[in-house]
Amino acid sequence: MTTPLLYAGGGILLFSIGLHALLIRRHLLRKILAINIMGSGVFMVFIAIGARGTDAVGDPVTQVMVLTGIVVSLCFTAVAIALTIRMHNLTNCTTFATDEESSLD
Amino acid sequence: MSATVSTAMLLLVPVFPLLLIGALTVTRVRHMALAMCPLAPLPGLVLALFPAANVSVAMPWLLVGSHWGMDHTGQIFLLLTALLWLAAGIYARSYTRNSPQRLRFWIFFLLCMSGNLGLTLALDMISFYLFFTLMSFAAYGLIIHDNTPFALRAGRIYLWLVILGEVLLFAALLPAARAADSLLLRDVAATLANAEGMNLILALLLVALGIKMGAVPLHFWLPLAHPAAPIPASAVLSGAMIKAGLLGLLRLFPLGFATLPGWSATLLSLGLLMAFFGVLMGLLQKQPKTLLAYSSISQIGFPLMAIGLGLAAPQQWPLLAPVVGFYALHHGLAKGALFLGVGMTGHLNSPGLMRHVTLAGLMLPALALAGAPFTSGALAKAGLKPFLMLSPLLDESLLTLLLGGAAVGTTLLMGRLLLILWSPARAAVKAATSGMWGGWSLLLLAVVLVSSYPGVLTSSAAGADLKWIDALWPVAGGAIITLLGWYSTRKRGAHLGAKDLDVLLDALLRRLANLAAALKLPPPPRLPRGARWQNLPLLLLLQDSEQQLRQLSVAGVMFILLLLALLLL
Amino acid sequence: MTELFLHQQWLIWLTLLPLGAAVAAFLAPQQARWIGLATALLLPVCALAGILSVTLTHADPITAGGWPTPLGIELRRDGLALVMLAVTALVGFIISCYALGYFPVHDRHYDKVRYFWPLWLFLWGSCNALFVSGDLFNLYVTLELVTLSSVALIALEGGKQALAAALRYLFIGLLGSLSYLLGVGLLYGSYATVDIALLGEMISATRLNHAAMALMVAGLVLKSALFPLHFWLPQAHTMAPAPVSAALSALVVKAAYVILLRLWFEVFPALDTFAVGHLLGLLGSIAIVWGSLMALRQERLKLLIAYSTVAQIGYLYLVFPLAQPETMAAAWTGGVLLMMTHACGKSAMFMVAGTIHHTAGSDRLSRLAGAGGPVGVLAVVFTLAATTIIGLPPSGGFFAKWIFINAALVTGQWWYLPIILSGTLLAAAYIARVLGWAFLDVKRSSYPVIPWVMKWPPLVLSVIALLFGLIAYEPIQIALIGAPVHGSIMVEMTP
Repeated sequence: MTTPLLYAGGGILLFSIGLHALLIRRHLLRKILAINIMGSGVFMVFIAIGARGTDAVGDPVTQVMVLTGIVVSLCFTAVAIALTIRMHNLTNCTTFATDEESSLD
Repeated sequence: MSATVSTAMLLLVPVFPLLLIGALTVTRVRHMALAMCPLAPLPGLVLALFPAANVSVAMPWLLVGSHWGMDHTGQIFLLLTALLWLAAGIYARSYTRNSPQRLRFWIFFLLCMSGNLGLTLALDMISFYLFFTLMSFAAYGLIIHDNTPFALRAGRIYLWLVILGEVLLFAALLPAARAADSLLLRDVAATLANAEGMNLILALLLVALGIKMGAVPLHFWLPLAHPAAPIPASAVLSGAMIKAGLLGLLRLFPLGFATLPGWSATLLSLGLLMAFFGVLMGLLQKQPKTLLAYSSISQIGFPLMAIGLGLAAPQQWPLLAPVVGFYALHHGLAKGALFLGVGMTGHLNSPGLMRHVTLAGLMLPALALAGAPFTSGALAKAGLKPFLMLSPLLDESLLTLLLGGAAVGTTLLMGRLLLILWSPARAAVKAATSGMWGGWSLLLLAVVLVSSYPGVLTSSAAGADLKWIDALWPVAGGAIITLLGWYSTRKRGAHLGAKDLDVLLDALLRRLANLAAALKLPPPPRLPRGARWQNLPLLLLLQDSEQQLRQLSVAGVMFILLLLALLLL
Repeated sequence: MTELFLHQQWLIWLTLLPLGAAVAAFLAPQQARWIGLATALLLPVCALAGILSVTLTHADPITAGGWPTPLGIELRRDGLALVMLAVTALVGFIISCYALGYFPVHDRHYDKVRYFWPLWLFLWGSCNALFVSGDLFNLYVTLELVTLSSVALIALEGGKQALAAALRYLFIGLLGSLSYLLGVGLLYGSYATVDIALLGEMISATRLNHAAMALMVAGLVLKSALFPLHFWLPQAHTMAPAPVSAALSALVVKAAYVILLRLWFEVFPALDTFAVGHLLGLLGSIAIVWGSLMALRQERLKLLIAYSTVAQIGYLYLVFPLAQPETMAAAWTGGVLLMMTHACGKSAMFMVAGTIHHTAGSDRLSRLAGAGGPVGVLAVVFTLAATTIIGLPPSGGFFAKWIFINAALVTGQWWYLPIILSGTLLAAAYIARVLGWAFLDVKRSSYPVIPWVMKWPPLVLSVIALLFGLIAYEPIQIALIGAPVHGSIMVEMTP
């Protein structure tokens, strides 16, 4: 069991935990958190891949990718929170209403 | 004509009506374009009357390679189609003069015309399919033109069958094209007999094209749609568009390439069935246009029989093909003239010369359809006669007798039509205008001239000397029966009509209902009022599952399942 | 002169111009409409120039910033990128014209007008960037940009349901792209490159690569709304304003599909994708029937059109099982042709639905009677667009289906024939429901005044959807430039 493999396994675990929470938790903030945890899991896999080389420095390309990914997920989190606040202001509710889930008409 | 001119003419045939539609949408030139509309089939007429040798044009850039051209079969159908659309157009210009929906009528009229003219010239299957589709769907707009509940219902039923026909035709053309390794209709017909799944392809073709021809039992849209349309549109529907299905059969069936006894027997019996079924159902009708529609079903049975004979003896097909073409031409013109004549009956009850002229004008195509001596009908039937010996199904003499019987039936049908048209109830029909006279007389002239159309029957019927007496007995017999029936019913003051059957059926149903009431049977289940087919239980069930799918947790499980499946596969 | 013209780096401008314009439109909201219109006018010119420069010259490949591959980002200039750019430019131009009428200057909802233009230009630029991206990570970033701007555009309407639809779309989009990104990471771990062309040469059939493929395919399937993961699409596409719905259905759904198409034919051939292809084909077949049946059920025009998109996406996924060695080129071409023609037809339909909603106040089918007056332009546009959705000749949809069925027969997968045919029948049925209402002659007391930009531009799109079939050779020829497939397309057609 090498360290990179441990990190990769941890990343996959985080991804699964996030996925579970995204689907099960009803509160929108929890869902947003869950998505962020999933993202962190993926970034950990990338870091593990970058560190797998023999040289001490690690692969700069994966680090660049992770940085970009963090920026992207930051944008998404901001938009998601803005939408959630707007929804809370409108409906005083922080979950997807059940009737919306079932009906479109 | 020089080659360039005739090629240009060929392209103009389907394109000119479309150009006119373009002109109709521009307000500034709309008036002029409306005046031009009846003349839209002129390029087709010129091309059919003055054919250049082997006029054809290949357009590799269009529709993955289009091939348009005119062969002998195409020429006859083009002539028929162009003539009918021209006459109907002249007629319609007067007929629709005061209609508020005039513009819509002409747009659909021109679209439909473009499709119908184009498909006679299409030599590759995609062009053929394109024009066929254009014609079929545009005809919907003509059928529902009056916007009555009857027309809308007829249109709906028509549309369903068109869609079904389109899909089946598509399903048939694809494997046929693969077997032939070519999109040319000629190649397809030549190789179809050796194709894998030949019987399935032929069956699909027969159903798809049969819908358009009103083949029993898929005929039921026809007696609804043809009467629902305005008179000039019913004339082209019944005269020309019904022939598109026939042309499709002629183009795609392996006629002259293979002996298919089974298919020969099928088509023969189908044709015979249609010939008698149309007559019987037609005799029960009270509406002249419905009666004429049933007569079309009956008449289209004869070319079907001829195709059946051709499948039994491929070597005879080159002689038989002109007969089929001539039959189509004869029937289209006569039927078109009769349909247009329905709108002219206002003159029948006015005294004077007009009455006699109108009566003569109605008698002429009626006699031609019945096959009276010296008419095109007699020629067409005489042309068919020498080939009856090819039949794999029935004995020649029996078949001759059956055809004679069908001719008697047709005569009866025509007699009944004239009696209906003459009835005092129709005195309210308003007098025809000059344009209507123009269109009608053009067709009547064509019906007269077609019996001397050059080159049609030279090859087949010239040898067999025409015995007019053969043509006489069915017509005379039918006429006598009609007169007798008319005379006997007139005495009792009753109409020869479908009333008896209606009443009988009604009484039967009432008795059944009484019986059910006596036995205390539950009434038959009925759909609640307002229930539509989009609320079918199956669809509602699916809708419920769709709502389940919309929940994020269910969807998430679906995602995980898909991911697992992808990982494991 | 021509040399100078052709050697411009048009493809870069296709991305930079709308992104710059988006910023400008955000900073100067008063001028946003004119900035948007000017960009919309320039982009089709750039796209055309790009196509000409690729077809007429053999210019050097373009690399952003001048870094060579594999480190730098090389722009793809193959046929797929070119036709998608062209279709995007065309659809985008029409949507922009339409939006001028849909968001009038003196709207009560000033926010909608103010934010539509920057977001729409941003979406347009991201789509263009996605189509020319040639490496997996760049595709991820551009796909996220597309999703981000789509989310904001869906929320533009501002209502409770629109917000919920936008949030749901955001979660789904993120789930899909993170799954895709994880797959990218696994591939990078094995081969230390994300360049599609390089990966295609190096990749071999290992378990790890297969897992990477599964993750990427699952993510992209989710983002392109294949059954049973289509659940977010009807809501998202219906809640958005009409120009946005048109863009979502025409372009955004296709973005994920284009990535999948690139991966499948350029990266995955070395893997054992036989079973996966058939699974996707099965789901596609169900999507065709399911989406069409659902469309039949709907009482609202926009929902009906959205479900029709679900069905059409099903057709796109038939490409994968049909792409057997001997029919590789046929399936690929059919998919691309369907994508192009569906983009045009479907956006025209959504615009018609939007116009009706805009003027009648509701898009319930029962309110359609007499829409647009006698011989309404709307009915004509809808009918022409319907031709391609049903797959009647001479539309591009017809040829795509023809090519698909041909490929199915060649490879002996005859069961796709009844599926495609029943899809055609059902499509005709739900379209007939709409047109049945439109043909009714109901005399309305007053016909609404529709600005001409909402009436006529969609007509162009529906006519072009027909032209894709009428002159099918030309778009197919362009699409096949540098295509990853070779072979005959259909009978008598071997470009």
